[in-house]
Parts: sequence; structure tokens; C-alpha cells
Amino acid sequence: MDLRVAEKVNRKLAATEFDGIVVVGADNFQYLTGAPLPFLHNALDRYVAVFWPKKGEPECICPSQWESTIRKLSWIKQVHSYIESGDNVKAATDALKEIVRKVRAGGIIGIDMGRCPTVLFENLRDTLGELRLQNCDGLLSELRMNKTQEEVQLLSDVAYRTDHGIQGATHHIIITAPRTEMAFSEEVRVHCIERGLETLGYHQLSSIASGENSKQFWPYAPFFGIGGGEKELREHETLRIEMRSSIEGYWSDAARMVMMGEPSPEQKTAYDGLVALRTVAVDAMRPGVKCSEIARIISEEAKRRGIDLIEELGFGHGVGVTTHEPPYVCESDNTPLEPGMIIVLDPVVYGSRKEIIRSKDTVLITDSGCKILGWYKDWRTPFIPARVL
Amino acid sequence: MVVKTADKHENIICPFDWSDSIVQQGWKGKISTYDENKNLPPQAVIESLTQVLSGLRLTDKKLAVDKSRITTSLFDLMKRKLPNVEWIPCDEQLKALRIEKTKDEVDMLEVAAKHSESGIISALNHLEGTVDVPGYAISEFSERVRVHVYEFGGSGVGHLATMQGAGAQSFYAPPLQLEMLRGGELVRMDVTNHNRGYWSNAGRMAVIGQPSTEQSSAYHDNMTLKDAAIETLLPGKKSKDVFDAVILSSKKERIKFWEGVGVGHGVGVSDREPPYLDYSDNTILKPGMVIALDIYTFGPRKELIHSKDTYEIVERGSRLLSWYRSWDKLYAVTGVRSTH
Repeated sequence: MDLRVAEKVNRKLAATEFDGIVVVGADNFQYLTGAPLPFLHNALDRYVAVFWPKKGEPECICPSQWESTIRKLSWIKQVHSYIESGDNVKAATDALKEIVRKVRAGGIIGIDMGRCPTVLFENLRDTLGELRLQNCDGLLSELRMNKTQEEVQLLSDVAYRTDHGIQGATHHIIITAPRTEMAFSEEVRVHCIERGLETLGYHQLSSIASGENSKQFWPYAPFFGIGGGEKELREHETLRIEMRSSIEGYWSDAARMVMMGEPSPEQKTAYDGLVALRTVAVDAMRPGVKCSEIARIISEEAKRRGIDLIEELGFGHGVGVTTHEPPYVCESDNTPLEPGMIIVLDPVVYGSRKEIIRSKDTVLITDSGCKILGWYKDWRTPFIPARVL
Repeated sequence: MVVKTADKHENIICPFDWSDSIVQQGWKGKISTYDENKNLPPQAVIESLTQVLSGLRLTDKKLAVDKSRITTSLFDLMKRKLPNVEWIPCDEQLKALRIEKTKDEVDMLEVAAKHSESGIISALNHLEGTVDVPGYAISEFSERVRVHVYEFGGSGVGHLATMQGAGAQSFYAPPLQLEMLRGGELVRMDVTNHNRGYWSNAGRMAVIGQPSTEQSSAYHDNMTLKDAAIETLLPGKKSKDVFDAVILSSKKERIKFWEGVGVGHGVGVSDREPPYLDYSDNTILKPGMVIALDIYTFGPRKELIHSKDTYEIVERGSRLLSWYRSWDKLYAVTGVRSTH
């Protein structure tokens, strides 16, 4: 799928001082090659890299085992492989040196220092002695935060299908005929797969937490890809569904709430509080407004209403080739919102019994404001399942 | 991030929402969470690390760090924020620790290997009943491998890929393949999965229907090279000796294999780690090491063939951890369950 990323990279890179950039991070590699390789995140001794020159065609290096796969999946045509050895740092550096040496002596090469392991960086710096290596994380962050129309379309589709998958599964809940959290998490995952989503790789998540379990963020660690428990869903409980899935390496990050029966006044108050925070945030999200300002608005609204808001997580983040990336809706991120950014808005509150309540909305920043993507249901109210068949 | 001192102080630094999952998995040491609202991740981590090290009076001491993992940005920040710490790389020490497993770790890895095996075999069993009409799409088969890994107790699946025929010429294909499994094709099924964080890395071959002579022969070639490797999988041998034994057998038997990717690697808290059974690794094999033996040969249509097994190095040789059934012969999906 051509997401028109290459054109944007060329345009942005032309406006920098870099003669080219080298990226080694699994996420950055996918972004620049268009090749989703879900195993990269766990392959810590096997280095891949893209060299993207200011002038000329991008090239990449990889272990020989992955060469034909990358050739198939990537828009980059020049793929060079290296034979692995006990010293893959050297093998990768040598391979990279061959393609980076086209840059003039004294040239500046950007590198994703936020991803590059120190040993690899030091080896590259020593090997490419005539070139100056500088951090290009800012450029990559800017590129990745501002999506192309094609990326927006894909992420919108992923968000919608995920919401649809969650909804499809919730329709199977019958309050008086309970099922276990594990069985239900599988239903959510299967419903997502049925809608063409991929539930693969190290970002994937399918988690259900109800009742006492909903007081924890990860009640079944390390079962992140499947709800691990035999606990049954019970009437009157709060049920939290979390799901992360992808298409071609572009992710959704979803969470929704189900109330197992007519909500109690306390449950209603907590959920309404969450809706109020999402509403003030969405009302404020438009180009030019800083992420920190959105965070401040959410925090102040919570104080004004006496909502038990969990502040330590921040209140949202970007999504793209990973499930959690810049910009961050938090006090410390002064990134101004721009059209084309996609934010997972995620204020998290406690219910009256310290249940963790969250309902993540995927929001696109538009020219005049913002737009919620992917609602299959109006989430201003939680889902309430049928009581009997 | 983990801080561990010589006097057994242990402290994990992590985001706020991860702490309960760490406690649940048995962590007895301290946990310091950082605030992602007040600081962006690198700064937030460093602030927390500085507090922990100050509390332990370690801000002017010699500290070891895994430089092969820590990112350049994070390490630069650490050096700036903690200028009086002398940072020493400890990657070799960590490698030495991880490469020889405790008995408990071997047990965890054996269970993980059995989960892979059960996942693949069970998915094949389901396939048996459907080969005539209409069969499975490739992605449906992969999904069944995953589901069965979980059903047998696995706690997570990482890499997952099923490829058939010419599609199996590459190491990996994306999961969404709506193409049906076809009669006469070789199929490669790869999965990595963990048992509470300890990984298995498995791959098996099958053929849909009765194998052709060429397919059987190609699979047999792979077993021939594997036998040569197993004979060398002994304590005291070097990792590269195993590779060399396969080279020797390959020349003697005139069997081509994919030399560039080596013939295996360790498994542990990752699905691929030292020692590496390749031309360059001089690591001496020792009891307690757990190896995924993985030799790629080629099928009649240049399909990549492998049958990846997990072995523990023991005092007198090696112990196979992964077999649920014999993989000496190519698995034939004939639709008749009594054949296996």
C-alpha cells in the first residue's frame, strides 16, 4: 500500500541540514520502508537500517534471512543484506558504511538516537569518521506525527474496524448467561480478525478486566494477547475492554466500557465524568493549540467536577506504526496540534470502587478542529448488554 | 529499567500503569513509577533513576550498564544528569548469565517448546478434517496455531507465519493471506511463543496430501543435516563446531543449505539469543544451554524447509525438549487422522 510517505520524507529532508538520515529503530524502519515486520521488536541482536539520502534513492540493510521478505514488502528497491555473525554490530556497520559513503566528507548524517543502541552508535561514529552524526529524532517525530491523507485513511479504517470488532463481541454478552474474561477477550479478538484486522506481533493486546480485576491495569500479566482468567463476567460489574490491532503495521489503540446491567448511580457518575473530560478535550482540540494546553483543560475540568482523574499517565498520545507515540497529551509536551495528527484521547478515571475507567477515542485534527474517528457506537454512554436472550 | 546493587537492592523503574503487572509476576523488590504527565519519557525515566541512585548513594560510583540495549539518547541523558557516575558496559556479563540456564529456566523453556508443538500439531489435526472441501485459508491456519498455543497454556505469541509453495521461499509473509492451502504444496509453519516470558522458537513442515518423491527427499535431506548437527551438540564443543559439522555433511551428502543464517541459536527470555550456531561463534557449549536447532534447506520449488527443535545441552550430549510427535518424516495432511 502506497501511503505517500516517501514524498513527504523527501520534502522534509530537503529542508534540513542533513545530507541523509540513518534509522535503525524497528518503528522508524517500518515507517521509512513500508514493510511491517512484527518480529523486529524482539530481534534485539539483529540490526536493520535505512539510509535515506537527501539526493538519490533510499537503501536499506538487513540480515540475509529477511532480505527477500523486505524486497517483497517495501517500496525501497535497494535492499542489501549481511551475513550474521557473533558481532552483528560490526556486520551491520560494515554493510551500512558501503551505502552511506556516498555522502561527501564532512557531511551531516541524521540518526535516530532515541532508538539506536549505544554500541551500534559508537561503532557507526567510529567507522564513519569523516561524517558527522547528529540526532534526527525531531525530524522523524515531526514526519510521523503529521500523517499523510493515505495514513489518515488507513488509521481511520483500523480504528473503525476495532470499534466494530469490540461492538460485535459485546453483542454476544448476555448478563444472565455469563462467560469468562478469557473467553470474552477471545471473542473480541476474533471479531476484530473477522473484520480484517491483524492481531499479531508485540504491540497486540486483547484484554478484559471486570469487577475486582478492573482495579488493575493489567490483571493477567503476562497474558497480554489474551485475557488470562476464568473469572466470569457478573451482573452490576464494570467491564473494561482493551484491544490493539493493526492493518499493514498501522495500529489502533482502543478501550471501551461495558456496564453489566443498568449502571448504578456511582457507575453513571464515573462514566459521565469521563465523558465530560473527553468532551472538553475534543472541544478544545484544533490546530495551533498545544498538547500541554489540552492536558491542562482536562486536568482543570476534573478538579472543577471533583473527578478522580489519574494524572500520571498523561491523557493521550499519537498512534501510527506504533500504538503509543508522539505527540503526548500531557503537561510537558508543548507540541502544537496540526491538521493530520491523530491522537488517541485517553483520560483515565477511577470509579467509586477504584475501578479503572477509560474509553479511548481516536481523534483526527482537521483544518478547523477535530473529528472523532471510528465510532461504531455513540460512546457517550457505555454499552449495556441484554439481560436475557 | 532495573537497578540492582551488589548488596541485593533491587528497584524497577517503570511507567505508572505497569507496576501492578510487575508485582503480579512475582517481583519482590522496589518499584519506582515515573510520571508521564510531568515529563516526557526519557526525562521522566532519568528523573526517577536519579532519585533511586541518590537514595542508594550511588551517584558517584561505578555502575554497569547494558550498552548493547540502552539507546544513545537515554545514555547521553544519563551521563549528563549523573556526571560523577563511572559507566561500565556489562553486556558480556549479562550474556554469560543468560546463556546458561538454571534448571527452573530450562523447565520453563521446555514447557514453552511443548506449547509451540501442541499449537502446530493441533492446528494440523483440525486441518485434517477439512482438506477436501473447502480447506483453510492460510491466515485461518495461522490463527489456529495461535489459538492452540493459548489453549495449551501459552502466555503469548510473537512471530506467527504460515507459508506454502513458492510463498515459502521467503522467511516471512504477512498474516492476512486469504489463499487456500492447496493439495500438493509444502507448507512451513513458524511460531514463537512464550511461557511467562520464556520463549520457544519453532518451525515445522507439512505437505497437503501425499508427498511427492521430491518433497520427501528434500525433507529427508534436511533431517540428514540435522542429524549431523545433533551429533555435535555436545558439551565442550564450540558453537561453530555444530555449524562446521553441518557444512561437512552438506558437502559429503551434496545437500545445499542456507549457510548465511547459521544453524541455530539460543532461546531464553528472547526468542533468539546467544549462543549462535554460525561460522563465527566460539562459545563453548555447556550443560544448561538451550538451543533452537534450525537448518534451512530447499524444497523442489525452492521453498525454505526447516524443522526447528529445541535442545538442552546436558552432561553427555543434548536432550530434545520439543517433540510431541516424531518429525523424522514429513507430516502429510491426508485427511485421515489415524495416520498420526
